[in-house]
Amino acid sequence: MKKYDVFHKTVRGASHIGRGTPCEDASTSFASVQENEKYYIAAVADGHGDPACVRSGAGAQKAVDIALDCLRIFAEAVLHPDTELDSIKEDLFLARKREQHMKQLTDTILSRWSQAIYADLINNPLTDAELQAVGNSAADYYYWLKAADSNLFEEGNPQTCASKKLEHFYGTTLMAALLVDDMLILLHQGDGRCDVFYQDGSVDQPIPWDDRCQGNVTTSLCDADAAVSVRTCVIDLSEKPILACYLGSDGVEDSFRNMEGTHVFYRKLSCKLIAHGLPNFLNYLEQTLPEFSTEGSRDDISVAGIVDLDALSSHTAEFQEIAEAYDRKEKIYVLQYKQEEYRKRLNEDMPRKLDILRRQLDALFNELTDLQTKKEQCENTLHRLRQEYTAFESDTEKLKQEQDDAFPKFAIEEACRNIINIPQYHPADAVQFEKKPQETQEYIAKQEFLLQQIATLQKNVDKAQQEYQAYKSKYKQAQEALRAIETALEELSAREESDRKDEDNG
Amino acid sequence: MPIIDNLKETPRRALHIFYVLDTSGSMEGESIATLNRAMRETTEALKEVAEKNADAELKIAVMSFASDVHWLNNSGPVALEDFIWEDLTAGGLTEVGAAMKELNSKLQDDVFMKSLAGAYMPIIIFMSDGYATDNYKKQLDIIRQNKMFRRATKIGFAVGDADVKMIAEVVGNSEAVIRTTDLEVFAKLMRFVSVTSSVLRSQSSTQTEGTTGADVVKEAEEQGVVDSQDLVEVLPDYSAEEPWVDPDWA
Repeated sequence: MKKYDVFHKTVRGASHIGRGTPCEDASTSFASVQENEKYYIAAVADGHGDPACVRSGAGAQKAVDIALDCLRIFAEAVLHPDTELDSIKEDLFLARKREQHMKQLTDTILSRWSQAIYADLINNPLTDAELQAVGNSAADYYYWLKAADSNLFEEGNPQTCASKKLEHFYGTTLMAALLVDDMLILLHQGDGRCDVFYQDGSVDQPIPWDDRCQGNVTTSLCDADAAVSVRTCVIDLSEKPILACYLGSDGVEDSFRNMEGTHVFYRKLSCKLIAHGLPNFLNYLEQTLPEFSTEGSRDDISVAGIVDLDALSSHTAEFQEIAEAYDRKEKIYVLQYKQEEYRKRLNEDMPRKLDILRRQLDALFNELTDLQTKKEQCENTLHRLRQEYTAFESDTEKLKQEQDDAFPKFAIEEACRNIINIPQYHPADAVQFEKKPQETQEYIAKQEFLLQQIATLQKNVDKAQQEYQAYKSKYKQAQEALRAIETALEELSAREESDRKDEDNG
Repeated sequence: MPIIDNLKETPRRALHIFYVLDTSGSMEGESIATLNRAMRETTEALKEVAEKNADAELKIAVMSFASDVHWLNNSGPVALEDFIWEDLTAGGLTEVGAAMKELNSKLQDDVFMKSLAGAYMPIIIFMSDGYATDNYKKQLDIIRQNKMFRRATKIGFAVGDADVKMIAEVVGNSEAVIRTTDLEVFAKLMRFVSVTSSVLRSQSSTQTEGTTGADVVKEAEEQGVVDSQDLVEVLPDYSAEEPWVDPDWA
C-alpha cells in the first residue's frame, strides 16, 4: 500500500477574536504506518455559533475525537476481519452491504457522541452564564437534572430522561475521512467541504450535498434526524487513485464566491505542502490561516488532509498555473463587480443621500435665518423701549426739577391754575411708563430664549454641515475609487490582450 | 502570501434587512409621524451595529405600500453608510398583495440579493395598521415558494386595529407578531427588533435552532422591551408552505 501523510490545523476566526468568543472548530488526523497496519484518518468539526449552542466548541472536539476512535476501530476491522466470510472490504463495494456498514459506523459515532455529551453534562453542569444563554432550553435542562438526581435514568441511560434533546448545547458538524486498504471512506454531517484530487489532477467533492445547508444554516450532529442524514461515500482507490483528500470547515468555502475558489485554495495548499515539507507546512498554516480568516469569511478555519506527497509533487506546476489563471480571472470579476457597485452608489445612492442632506441643511439654514431675524426684531424693540424709557425718565426728572424750582410759586400757580397753563407731571403718564421696565424684561427674556435657540440650532447646522461635507468627501473618494478600478480593469484587459497576442504569435 | 492574495478584494457577506411598511390612509397623522421617527432612530442604531459588525455587511431596503408600492432606494438594498431616511407620507389603500408581489420580484439572487461574498438569509420586518384591501393571499402563496422568503427571519408589527391574522400569515408565525396600540412602544420595539435580529442572524446555527422572528420577539419579551400583553396569542399555524386556497376565492 502507498504511503500517505496526514495533517490538520485549526485556527480561531477573526470574528471570534473580535467578539471575544472561543474557537468552536476542531480537527484531528492520524496515520498508522506499521506494515500491514496502514491507514490514515483526518477529521474536522465546526461547532455552531448560535448563542444557544453554549458548548459547541466542546461538541466539535468530542466529535473529532470520537470519529477518530471509531474510524480506527473500523480500519482495524477492515484490515483484520474476524473470519474469511466477514470481509468488510468486499462488502463496502456492494451497495446494500456498504450502506449497512456505513450506517453502523455513523450510528456508533452519533451514539458515542451523544453519550459523551450527557456524561459531560453530568460531570460539568451548565454554569449560570450558560443557562442564561440557552434561554428556554434551560427548562429542559432542569427537568433532565431532576431526573438525574432522582436516578430515574432507564438502564443508566441519561438520554432517555430528556424531554427534549440537550445535545444542541454541543451542536456541531462533522466531516471525516479514512483511507484504508485502497479505499477512501468519507462521512459528513452539516456544512464544510471535502475536496478530493485524483491522479489526473482533477478534483471533485464526492460526498453528496445536503441542500438544507444554506447560508448560515446547517444540519448538525444534534439534529433529531442526524442518524439518517449523515452522508457517506466510499471511493475505490484501485480504480480511482487520489493525490489528496482535503477536509475544510465552512470558514474556507465561505471565503470564496464560488466552489472553484475552494478548489484553488487546496491547489495552492498542495503547492505549499510540497514546497515547505510537512513540518514547516504546519507552521505556514499557523501563520497564514488567521490572515486568511480576517480577509475572508472571518470564521474559524479548520483544514485536514490525507495526501500522497510523491504523486502530488508532479502536479505542482499545473496547480500553480491553474491558480494563477483563476486569480487573474477572479481579479477581473471582482473589479467588474465593484465597478458596478460603485456606479450604483455614485449614480443613485450617494446623490440621493447628498440631495437629502443638502435639503436638510438648507431647511436648518432657513430656520436659523428666521430665528436671527426674530432676534434682530427683538433687539430693535428692546432698543426702542430703552430709548423711550430713558427719555421718559429724563422728561420726568426735568419736570420734577422744574416743579421743585417753582415750588415757592406753587401756591400762586395753584391759585391761578385756571388762568395759567403750566406743563405738569401727570400720574397717568407715570403708570403708562412704569409698564416699560416690565415690557423690557419680557423682551430681554425673549431675547435670551432666542439666543439659546440660535445657539442650539447653530450646533445642529454645524453638525449637518459637517455631515454634508464629510459625505461629499466620501462621494469624491468613491469617484476616485471608481476611477482606480476602471484604470486597473483597463490595465488588466490590455495585459490579457497582449498575452493572447503573444500566445497567437508563439 | 499567495494563498490569500486573491482575497484582498473579498467583501463581507451581506445581511439584508427589508422593511415592508404600510403607509395607507389610516396611517395619517400621529401614526406616520411616529413611524418616520421610529425608522430614523432605527437606521441610526443600525449604523452603529453595521460599524461594529465586521462579519456581515448590513444593507437596508425599505418598501412603503398603500395603493401602490414604492422603494426608498429603487436600485436595491443600500449599505447603512449610504442610507438616509426620508419621511414617508400616508394615503391610499392597503394593497398587501401588491407589496408581496413586489417583494417576491426583488427577493432574488440576481436582483436585490446580489452579493459578491454571498448573503445571509434576509430579515423581513412587516408593519401594518389595517386590513388588506386586495386579494393578498394569492400573492402570499406565490412568495411562500420563494426560498429566501421562506427562510428569512420575519417579524410582524400590528399597530392599532391591524388585522393580526393577516400579519401572522405574512410572517408565517403568530409568535413573531407584536401587537401594540402605543406608538411610543412601537418606536422602541422597531429599533430593538431590527438591531437584535441583525446581530442574531449573522451567527451560524442549526436548521432547528436558526433565528426565527419568534426568537427575536421572545428575546424582546425576555429583556422586558415588550410586555406579554403586547404579544399576539398563538394563532393557528400559518407557516405551512403549501399554497393556501381560500374557499371563497377558489
